[in-house]
Amino acid sequence: MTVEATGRLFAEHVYYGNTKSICGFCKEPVDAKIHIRGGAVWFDKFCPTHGQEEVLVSSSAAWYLDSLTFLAPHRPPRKVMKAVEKGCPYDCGPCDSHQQRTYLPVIPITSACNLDCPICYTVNNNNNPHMLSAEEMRQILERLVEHHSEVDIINFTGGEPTMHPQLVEFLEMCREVGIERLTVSTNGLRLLDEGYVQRLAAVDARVILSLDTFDEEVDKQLLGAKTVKAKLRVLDICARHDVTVTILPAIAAGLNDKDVPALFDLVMSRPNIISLECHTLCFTGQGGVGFERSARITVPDLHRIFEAHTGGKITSTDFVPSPLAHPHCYSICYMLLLDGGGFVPYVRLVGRARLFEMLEDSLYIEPREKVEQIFLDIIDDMWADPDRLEESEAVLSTLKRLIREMFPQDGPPLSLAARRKIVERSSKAIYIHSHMDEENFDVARVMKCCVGVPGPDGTNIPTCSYNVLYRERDPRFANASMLDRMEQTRPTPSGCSANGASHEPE
Amino acid sequence: MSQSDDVCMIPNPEQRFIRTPRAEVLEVFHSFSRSMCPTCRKLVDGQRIIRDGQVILRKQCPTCGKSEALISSDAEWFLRSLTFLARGSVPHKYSTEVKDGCPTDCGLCPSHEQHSCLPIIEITNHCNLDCPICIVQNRHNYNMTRAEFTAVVDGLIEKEGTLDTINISGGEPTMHPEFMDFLDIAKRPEISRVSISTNGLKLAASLDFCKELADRGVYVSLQLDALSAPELRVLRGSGDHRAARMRALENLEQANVRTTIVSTVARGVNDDQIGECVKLLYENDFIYSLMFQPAAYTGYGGSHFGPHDPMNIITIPDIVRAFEPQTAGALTYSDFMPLPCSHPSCFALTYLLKTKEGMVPFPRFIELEKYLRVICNRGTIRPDENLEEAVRGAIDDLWSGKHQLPDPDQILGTLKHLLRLMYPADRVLELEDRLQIGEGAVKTIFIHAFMDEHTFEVDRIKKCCTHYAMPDGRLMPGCAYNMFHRAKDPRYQGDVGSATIWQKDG
Amino acid sequence: MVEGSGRLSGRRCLITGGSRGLGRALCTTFARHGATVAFTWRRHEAEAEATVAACAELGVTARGMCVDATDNRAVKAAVAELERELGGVDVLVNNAGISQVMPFALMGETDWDRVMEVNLRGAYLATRAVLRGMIRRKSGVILNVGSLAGVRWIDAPVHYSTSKAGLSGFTGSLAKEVGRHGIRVLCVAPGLLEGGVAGNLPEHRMAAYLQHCSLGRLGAFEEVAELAAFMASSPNSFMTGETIVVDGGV
Repeated sequence: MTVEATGRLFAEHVYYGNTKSICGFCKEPVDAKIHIRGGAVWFDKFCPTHGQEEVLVSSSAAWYLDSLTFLAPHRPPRKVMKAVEKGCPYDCGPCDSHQQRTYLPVIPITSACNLDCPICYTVNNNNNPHMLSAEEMRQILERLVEHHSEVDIINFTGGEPTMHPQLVEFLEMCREVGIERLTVSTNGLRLLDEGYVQRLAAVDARVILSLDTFDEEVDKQLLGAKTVKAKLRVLDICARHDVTVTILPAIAAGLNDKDVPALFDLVMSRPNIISLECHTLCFTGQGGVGFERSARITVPDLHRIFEAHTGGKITSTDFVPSPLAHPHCYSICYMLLLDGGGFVPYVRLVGRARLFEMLEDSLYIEPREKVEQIFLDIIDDMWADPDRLEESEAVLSTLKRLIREMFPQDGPPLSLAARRKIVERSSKAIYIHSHMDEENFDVARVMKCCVGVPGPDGTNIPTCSYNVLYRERDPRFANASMLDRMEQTRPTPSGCSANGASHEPE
Repeated sequence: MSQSDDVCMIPNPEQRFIRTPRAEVLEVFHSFSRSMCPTCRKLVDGQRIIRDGQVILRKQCPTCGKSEALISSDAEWFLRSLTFLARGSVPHKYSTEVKDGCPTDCGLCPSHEQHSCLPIIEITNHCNLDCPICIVQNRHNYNMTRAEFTAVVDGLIEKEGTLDTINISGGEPTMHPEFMDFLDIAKRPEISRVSISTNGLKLAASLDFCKELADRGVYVSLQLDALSAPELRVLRGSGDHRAARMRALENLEQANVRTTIVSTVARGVNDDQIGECVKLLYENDFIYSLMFQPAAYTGYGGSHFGPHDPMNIITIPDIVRAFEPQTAGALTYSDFMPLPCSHPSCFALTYLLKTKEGMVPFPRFIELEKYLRVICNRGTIRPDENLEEAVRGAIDDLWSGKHQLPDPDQILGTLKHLLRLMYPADRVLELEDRLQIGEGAVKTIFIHAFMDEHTFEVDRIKKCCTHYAMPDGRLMPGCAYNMFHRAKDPRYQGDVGSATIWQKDG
Repeated sequence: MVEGSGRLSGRRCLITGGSRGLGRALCTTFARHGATVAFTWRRHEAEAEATVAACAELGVTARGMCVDATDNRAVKAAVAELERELGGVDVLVNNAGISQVMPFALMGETDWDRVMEVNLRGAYLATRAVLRGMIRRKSGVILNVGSLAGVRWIDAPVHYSTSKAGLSGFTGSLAKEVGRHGIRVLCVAPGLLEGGVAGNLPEHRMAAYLQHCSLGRLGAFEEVAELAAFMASSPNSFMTGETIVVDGGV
């Protein structure tokens, strides 16, 4: 404690505010004081049963506060499906407290999985596994479109979605209903079958491949298996069939944070890999609940890794939050690839406010009119003031080449889809997505969540609530032995340190 | 952001917020707030929503349904206030343990985030008025005993070490039979200033009484909502309040008692009298500060004043905005600042330097961060090394032309004169004497917003610095006491006593 | 298909850029109205043959000539050949033109020059080549194909709009000069056409255009060609120097 002249003691921390969380041990509702200390942000929680619990939320208070300066409107769900009874997050959903509609529906189509990753944040069940029926899928789609006619993206997951025999059929159903962007989150093992990849390519499904590391030892620690070689082969197959891919690593401090630079380079080097989506490790679910807490990493730590690796070509201010979610959930950086090599973050071309605005209609930027106008503005801007950026010339020649490609002078005009693909492949994105667990749970983030698990009856449960509370009560996923295993591996309250690894002061 | 070692931090000094275009027209979810259902008074989930440039508290009660209340009429002010961060101070001793959580464990429990800047001792619940706007509900059946009072004062010194100020209140404290003795008991070397909160009726009736107050160096907080009779009647009840208040002021001036004017501002009643109160402050040397309190509709006032529209109340920024039109520009919006010492939504203030040409608000010539450090975590501005450093800094800046003020010489002259007085060349003054000199040259305008059932937020109460002192040694954060604990206070149980209300029937 | 009116019978018509699109429609429509049709083409040989075939179906033997509209010698040679074989050219339709989607900031000198060359200079070269004969015979019609983009401010590439606006100026002042020889000079300015250079327009701009278009649709080549056929015909004897917009009412 520091002491002022009158002998009065100052607290070590700054009290920023109070939010609501859940107890890391019993998941009952608790106050969470938001403390800024040593340049980092912590939740100081108190459960009447389990006592005080401190959790690192962000290793940078500057990032935490900066994100809160971004303001974007929410659009409340069209229909409230559940009454408020116990309060958030026990009444999903949506209940009257929920403030945002779903922009990304996530469908776990099966509880089966062919891996048992130590970091898994879901709960899987291979014993007579749940398989979503076509009828249920149909109903889910019907409700989605009825309640949220602007749904333009959908994600299939599980367990391992490729273990569901009707995955491709489901993808086709989504296309028929008019959903443009179809994504499948997968460990990729089934994609070693080239024929399967071709089927996915035929419906223009995008593959979100879990690739956490290139180091086989680390792979064993994180995924419990040696998957690197297989996944790299899968990437080759996807490249051959020009399947659009996102690489999705779950980052654990001290384990695979060192792989992030190589993962970044991999994404940059292949035209069909359009983004890198980093998930900060999340300590919930069948694996996560028991994983060593020293692996906790926060969003600004990843900013620092990118900054170090690119020599400052990407910095933390090149990221903006998603306007559709709570500002702490997604940290997003888009980059324009330059002819002749290199890239420039869009923030440097258009500023943070403009990039933030570009993201206000959809979680992932779709190449629509807004994007066209932005390109034109960039062109005029760069041309008029070329000294502002050293990459000006490269930007202009890249954009000119893109325009010539999109609007060929000879030959028939390109289809809209073809033009969009050119625009999409001209850029790369980094998404940092921090799911919550029962330790860093923040009800404020759940209330503005735009990602959810929809039910055939029209209900929707925000993903983090689902991962932390509802999946383990869902008989399709939870089974007694797995829940038991989770309880055994959950750290005990006394002597439990929920702190992250030590961090550099601000 | 400035070093984390600083007491105060301003991470976003330019107050830059990034909004999407639609954020100007649609609602924006800002944060979660644990708040209160105004109907059943249970704690419920709520959200702070920015809408139409204002901030609304939206709540969902499982039993009573939805409700909304205005908490700030100026979203910019609200957002700005959250960017001033200050470390709280820690009392030497806590009186209760953390057991069931906030706000059951008052107080103070070790989870509280601020010491007692301003302790209030309610020595009686007798009163000779029954003001429609009263924030408590007097039962006219209790007077504090001498032993209790002494214990409270001793206890405060034990918990705080030294106190800038303590406040003696009630009911109407001057009705206490041992009132003067209590003032003597409270005169301690550890307590810099003793103030009393009074309706002034006794002061109006007796000049000698005022002289006795002056002899004891007591400060008087005189309730004066308006200078016009009709408004006073609405807020204070029948009787010629205006005449009584004017008489009280006369006596106070004659006896040379240091006086604060306290004005409760209610929407549609006296919100146009703000300028008149400022005029009183400017024109009278014996009046050294002015306190505005936006009406809180609880206690007696909660049931007798209204019903009111919780969406149409006075909030801090309403008063801040009213200064410019009502003082013909002598004070403006930018002269005022939220005070982060309590929760930034609770207090706002400005300090004024008295120069030959008139009052100059400090923020016009002192840098913000220095200013914050000087005023933070204190009941009053203290002429210590922080202030000295700030003043010297201001002198340098003014002299070098850094601040674009129309007449810097006036301020420079006054500051130099002040410094010479406070730090004379030939001797060292006692802090007490320096304080007196400072007070002669500096006036303050405070705005203090209390919470009621509509606007209560757990977030705010944790940083409260205005505490009611109980004879059993506990300290109760003011609004928590009013909302939860006052009704259970064993001292006030028992039948309601008989009351003699001044000029009630004539 | 509109019935042939015979209004162009006996007229010898040269249409530049006649292998496809509006050019082909001009050839077939003029043929239907009784004209003797010759057209130039540069690269699209297969399409040129298709145009000839389409005219043949109407009983007209159209003549396709491979000529670069910006090559003065080639243009003069082609016209000379027509003078020899047909006895002259009665109607010249300056239709050959290009566009290029390019924001102004990226419009380099090469881009600008190319569009100006084909659209403006090409019209000037062809016009000079046929005018001698027309002045000798004291009759003839020069019909320039402009664009709505040269008449009103719509979203179109700057060099394209400039060149088309230039054609309107060319039309007016030339009409003044050669009017005394009984030669009429006209310009037809179509709006957006189905299958035309506007094929590259993004959907939202198309939607915005159609919102302002009274008839709410893109035009067909034939609709423009019909008007062109009338404008070039002798019944239209008192109109010269004009730019006529045919755009569905924007």
